[in-house]
Amino acid sequence: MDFLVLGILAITPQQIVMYGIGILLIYLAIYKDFEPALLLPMGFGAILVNLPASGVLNQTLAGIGETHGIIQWLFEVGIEASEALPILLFIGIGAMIDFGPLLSNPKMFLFGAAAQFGIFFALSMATLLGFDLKDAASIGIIGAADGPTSILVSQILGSSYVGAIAVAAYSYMALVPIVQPIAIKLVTTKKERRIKMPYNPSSISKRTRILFPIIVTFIAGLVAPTSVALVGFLMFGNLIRECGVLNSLSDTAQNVLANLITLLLGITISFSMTADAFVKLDTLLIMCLGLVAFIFDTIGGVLFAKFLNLFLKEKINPMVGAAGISAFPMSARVIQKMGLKEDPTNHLLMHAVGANVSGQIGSVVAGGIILNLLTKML
Amino acid sequence: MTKEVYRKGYNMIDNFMLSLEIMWKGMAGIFFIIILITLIVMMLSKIPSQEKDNN
Repeated sequence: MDFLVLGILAITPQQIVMYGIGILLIYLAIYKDFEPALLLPMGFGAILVNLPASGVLNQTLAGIGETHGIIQWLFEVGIEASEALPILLFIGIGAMIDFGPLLSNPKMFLFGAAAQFGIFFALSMATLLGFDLKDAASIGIIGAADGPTSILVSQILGSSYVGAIAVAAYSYMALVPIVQPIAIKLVTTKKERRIKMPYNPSSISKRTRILFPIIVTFIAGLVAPTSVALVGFLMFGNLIRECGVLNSLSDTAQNVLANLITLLLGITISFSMTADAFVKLDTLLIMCLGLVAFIFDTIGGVLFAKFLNLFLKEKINPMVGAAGISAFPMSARVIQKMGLKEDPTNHLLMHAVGANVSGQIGSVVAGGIILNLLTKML
Repeated sequence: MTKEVYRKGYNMIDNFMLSLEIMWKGMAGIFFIIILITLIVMMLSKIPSQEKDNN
């Protein structure tokens, strides 16, 4: 009857650590509401792939030969071979986003660019900690505050830290309400946080809404061709939403498709959370660098707003700059809440939403540009 | 300093210097694309349209 205890005897201390991490992720998802759609499947997947001789991974069995595991197959087909899962998710994300608040207030676009600074800052810090350029860029992209972009870029660059990067990206997105207020207060005064911004949106024609995704695809695609998969699918989803003749498809993309891909993406990415790949000092460093990326994204956006204020008659509340990160809609809500806390009559939500959806574009463009630059430099 | 050195990733300082190059080129690239999009959106909003909706 030895076979009954073979599994228990084969457990390694590193695998026990991974069970703990898996349970922690499930706890954070259920009880703290931290990105539950992703962290729960990832947490459960972390347990599945770390069971000894787990059937969800390919195994070689005596007398039978190789057997195929479902999670490994999903990873090889859906992420490794084609990056299909994160890319397809962008159709759903694009269909969910209303670019109206941004199109009616175009200067908010600029914050979607400025708040990507943390990506490059973290990239530089990672090189100083000894990571090679591909891994450093993969770690930096955690600052895109966009899980699918982080997974896609780190996978294309062949980073061995995809699991840790995905966990960091989704964890910090959930921690935006804690991280951003601290970072914002570090670089703003109370007076600056109380700046009021009147909201006078211009009306947006249907033609503009339809042309917008097509134009963005052309510009991003021609300047940074590697970003086409990211930007193109995001904008394809948005075009389905805005065209007005594909409401059923738009609804499917926003709900069924996005939910299905999210469900599979979480459990699939857990393939890269096997104990030998995850239980390392590097994982801790990556978590720290991810935090640095989020903090400097926020600081980059805020400082850029303060820079613009040097030239503007109607001042911008610098907190709005912080909403230029891609974590939508959490970041916009954080800014609104902070604005109201400083002055109960100060409503910044629509400005922040504009900056926040710009961050969606900025983050995928940043992912494409990083791929572009690295493939040319390496 | 040749690209060969960077490629092999032997030297932390070389990688850091290269990361600074990625930083300025990357931020410049993002701003270039975003500003271009902003200008085109501003131009689009100047073109009169019969059909309008408010956000």
